[in-house]
Amino acid sequence: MSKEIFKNKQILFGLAVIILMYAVAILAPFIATHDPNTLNLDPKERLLPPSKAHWLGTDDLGRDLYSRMVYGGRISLSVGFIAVLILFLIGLVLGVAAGYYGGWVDTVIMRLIEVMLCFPSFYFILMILAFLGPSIFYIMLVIGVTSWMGLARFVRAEFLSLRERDFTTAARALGASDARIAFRHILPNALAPVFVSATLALGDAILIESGLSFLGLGVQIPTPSWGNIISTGRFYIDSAWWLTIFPGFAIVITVLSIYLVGEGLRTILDPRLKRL
Amino acid sequence: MITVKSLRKYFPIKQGVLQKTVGFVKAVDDVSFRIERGETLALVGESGSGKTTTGRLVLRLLDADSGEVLFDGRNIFDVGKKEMLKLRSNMQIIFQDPFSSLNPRMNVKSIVSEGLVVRGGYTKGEIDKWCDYALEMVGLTTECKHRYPHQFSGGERQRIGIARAIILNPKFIVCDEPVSSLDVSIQAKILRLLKDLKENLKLTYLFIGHDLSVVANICDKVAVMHNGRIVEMGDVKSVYTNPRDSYTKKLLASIPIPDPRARCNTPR
Amino acid sequence: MKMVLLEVKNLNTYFFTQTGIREAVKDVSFSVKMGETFGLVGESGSGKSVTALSILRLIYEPGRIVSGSILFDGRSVLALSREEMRGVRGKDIAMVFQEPLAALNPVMTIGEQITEQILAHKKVSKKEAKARAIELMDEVRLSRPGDIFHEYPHRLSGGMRQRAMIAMALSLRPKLLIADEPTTALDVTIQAEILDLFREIKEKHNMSILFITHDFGIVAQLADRVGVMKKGTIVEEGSVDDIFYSPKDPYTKELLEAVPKIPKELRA
Repeated sequence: MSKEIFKNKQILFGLAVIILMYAVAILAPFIATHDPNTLNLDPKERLLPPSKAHWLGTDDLGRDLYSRMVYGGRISLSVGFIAVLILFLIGLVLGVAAGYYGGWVDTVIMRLIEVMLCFPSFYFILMILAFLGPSIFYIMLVIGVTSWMGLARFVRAEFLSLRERDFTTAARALGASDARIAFRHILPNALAPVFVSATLALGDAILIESGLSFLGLGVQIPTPSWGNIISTGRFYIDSAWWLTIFPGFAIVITVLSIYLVGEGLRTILDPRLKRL
Repeated sequence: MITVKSLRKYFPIKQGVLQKTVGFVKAVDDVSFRIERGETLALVGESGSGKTTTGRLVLRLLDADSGEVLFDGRNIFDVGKKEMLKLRSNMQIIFQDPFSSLNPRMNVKSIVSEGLVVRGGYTKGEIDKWCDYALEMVGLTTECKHRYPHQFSGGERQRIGIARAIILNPKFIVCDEPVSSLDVSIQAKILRLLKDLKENLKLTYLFIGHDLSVVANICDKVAVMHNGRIVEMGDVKSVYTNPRDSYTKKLLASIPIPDPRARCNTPR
Repeated sequence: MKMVLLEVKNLNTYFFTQTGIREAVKDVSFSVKMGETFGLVGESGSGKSVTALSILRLIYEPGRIVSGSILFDGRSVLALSREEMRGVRGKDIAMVFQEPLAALNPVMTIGEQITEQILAHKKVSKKEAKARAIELMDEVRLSRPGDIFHEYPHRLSGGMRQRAMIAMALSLRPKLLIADEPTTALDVTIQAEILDLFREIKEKHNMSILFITHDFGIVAQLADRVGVMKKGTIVEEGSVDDIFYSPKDPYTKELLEAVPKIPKELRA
């Protein structure tokens, strides 16, 4: 299977971009040209178009856009990553419990999933953040806690079907405990669609964070985030296009690449399921 | 060795939004039989006859609604978890479908040695040794250990499943249609293997199947199941040559005999 | 000397996949005479189904009929236009498949499917088509054809579905009926009834049948001539007596040896 993954151009391209983005984010302190927060109120330094000194131009407060974007990438990408980790853990545990035990455990968890799905998630997140206050930690937590349902359903579905397979019965006949069957036998087979779901969730998480930051309820200025850079930049669309285009482009290409990888994985997995 | 008494397993039929139970599917309806040590009892029936469910009940892979299964005198439905674990070393199962009976994400060594790992108390070296031994007994080379199920043919996968079952040195094995999914030329080889293993390891079999031609060559006694009940039971010779039940007669008459001279030209 | 109805010469059908070229049918030649039943027998993967589909030109990407000739009633099947081929399918050559649930449209009633078949090829009124459909359902011994006419496929049993499919196949009185493992998915007692039906059809209509199966028992009961396939080629061909009593090819011998038979002492 790994061979198929690496042969697929869509996935390779997507992965390349994602790795590049995360590399840039991790190496931010080394590759930024200026300090992202240094103001320069000298009118000659404000709203400058891209140049040799400022690769992507400067914003309305004279800050170097490139450096802000590089640091902003850090925030956007890490929020996405941690949020996905949180939702992966919640979704996995609940999905395994529902799928393996069935009965009332399953019913309770399914009802919980259905109730959670009823909330229009973005507005729900806005509401919670309005109460809690927009710290980065809360943002990660809230996105994670409101997005685990799809993954849980996938895990549960896989468990329900795998639970009836002969190799599971064989393990029971050999005396394996419930826990061993769930984690050693079923889970490795159930993970494949779950990874697809998690990958796509990463794209969604980054989009949510950008949206929140754009609205001013996410990452707060002066800390840069691609979303809030666009937010301040939108007042200068006609005079300083670089303030909206570059961060916008960054968001688009990052999320697109993530979706490419996710969709590519799903395509590979589908025919495989038939072959199994 | 195995005595089954009045085994019953009913599956509820639920209908409606509130999932009310409106009736029952009598999968296994008052089934009783005995298998002596060293015997092979064939449980024969068509789809829906309850033979597979019976096989699972005998190993307590399903809980019975009523009835007993006595293994060497002890009712397996009465024992506690620890005792059941010990009993499980003695009673194993081989499945029909070589494709779904092996975990696609485990290599052959993990699959075959699962029984030992679950029991615990074996060193790595011991596990390795027993694994090799089991593989050799089923006619596979020890190089197979690191490969994965999808790299093997149907017949080879069945052998792996058999190796998994015998590694705990069981006394009794339920063979649930072990050759039904295999090509004819492979069927004969696997049946031969099962016969040899029975001799060498002194096994007792409950052989579940639907093909009377296959079963005739491997069993000592036959029980015919229909709609959850045993309609006829006896030693192989009397059931085949002198069937008393009408369903048994119908079953025997339905087998297309691979001999052109035995063509029956009269429509039923 | 009976006339030859279907003549297949040097047929090659290959599948061009990402992992390589699969030669499903390699240089296959055989003929089926009028009123004759030809049994094409082989294990899984031998190419027998692909051969049948090739005759009806039902091979789609990534498969292709690479070379060879198929003559039906003197005309070359491969040379026909798409329109002409559609006229042949169902009318001159009809096919019955292994899994009726897959072959029957789940959202159309049985009656609708049979009449649709009739109306597609013949200019008759709906009333006439319905009458004809009921006649056919009676012929295949579907009890209460008037009621079954309005039923959906999933409400019928496996045997009844297969009869419905046979009724559809017979509706236009084809000269050749291709049956691809029509009884493999059925219980043995139902299989016996369906085989009887095929025997009746053969006698009543003097129809040619190309019967594909892996079961030598069925071949012995139904076929006049037999072709044994292995990995895409026909390794031996002859009358049913020749194949069973004096097989020449080692593979044929091996298969016949492996076929499960009830031992002589157990035959009534």
